[in-house]
Amino acid sequence: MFQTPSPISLEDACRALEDPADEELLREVRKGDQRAASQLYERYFRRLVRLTDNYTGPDLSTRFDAEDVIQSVFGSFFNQVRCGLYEVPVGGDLWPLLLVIALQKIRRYRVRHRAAKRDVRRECRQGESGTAERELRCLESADPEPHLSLLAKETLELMPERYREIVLLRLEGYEHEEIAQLSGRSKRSIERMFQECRQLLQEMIRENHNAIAGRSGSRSRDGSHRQQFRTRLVNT
Amino acid sequence: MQLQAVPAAEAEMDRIVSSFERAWSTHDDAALEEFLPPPDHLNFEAILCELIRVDLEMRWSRKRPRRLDDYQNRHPELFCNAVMLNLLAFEEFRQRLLTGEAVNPTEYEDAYGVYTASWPRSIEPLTRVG
Repeated sequence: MFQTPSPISLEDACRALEDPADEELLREVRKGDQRAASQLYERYFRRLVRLTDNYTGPDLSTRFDAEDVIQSVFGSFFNQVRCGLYEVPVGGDLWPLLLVIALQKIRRYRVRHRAAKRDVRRECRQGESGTAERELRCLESADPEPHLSLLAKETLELMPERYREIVLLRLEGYEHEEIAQLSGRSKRSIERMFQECRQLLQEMIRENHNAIAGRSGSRSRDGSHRQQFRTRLVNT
Repeated sequence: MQLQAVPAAEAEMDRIVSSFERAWSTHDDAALEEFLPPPDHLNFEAILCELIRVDLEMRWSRKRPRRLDDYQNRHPELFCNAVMLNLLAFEEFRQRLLTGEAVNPTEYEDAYGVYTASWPRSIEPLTRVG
């Protein structure tokens, strides 16, 4: 299922110390510096490939490769950066943000893939191949992304009530303007709520990283850590 | 376990902005000043800024635009805050762009002294969502 993150080599650690921080690179990208954009791309490419491979599974890997998803992730990311929408928290990195964008993209690919499978099945019904139809139905009924569904479900449960509706609509593929219309809010409010959601998710991912890093400590300490985070979310 | 606590700043802002939006949708107009917290409220400036941004959207999308100078005359203290001024200037700029006006960011640099290097030069990035 999930791959254990590889340990950081000494070479990587030295390089990390010499490289400019994400915050600095993002500032340069905003000024139109292509080299900074390339540095960010190279910094996160391999990590995104691993993530995409983990979440697509063998059935989808024949339909598209990880690089398609990653190109799309960086395309969206750089467009929004040019609009001045993303910020890196002081001392933070862009991984939580890229992770969320990538998961959204993967989900959209999956939705499109499923729609395509339905079309193929319809064609099979019209034809003579009962076996092909059975095979396709079997493939469709098996949920190939249980961990992604579980992750989304758990994350939504932790989110404050007012964010859930708009996040669900976004996951369904609605654009900001459509979500504004459906929820009776202004586009600006939807934008603001998504910015807050992203901050929450970044915090959640950071907390998880810290929890993993501190797993050598007692289990009860992890439990209280999670409880503290849950309390903060409920109070928001 | 659901814990009761004092609502965070974001939740309070959302309640205020949501009431303002409801007023707009009910009466097709609303005075943002009626929704402001007391001036000594800890989050007064951020809430005022957000209400102006929503007001700009409501008015420009209904073809009843109000210009930033008008808000500046009503709330001059907010425009002394460089961060808020930047956000407000960008909001008016993008509303104008979305209504099809040919607007150049340099206009805002000259008028308000804001930094516009990261602003889009056309409507396309504003209508594209990642």
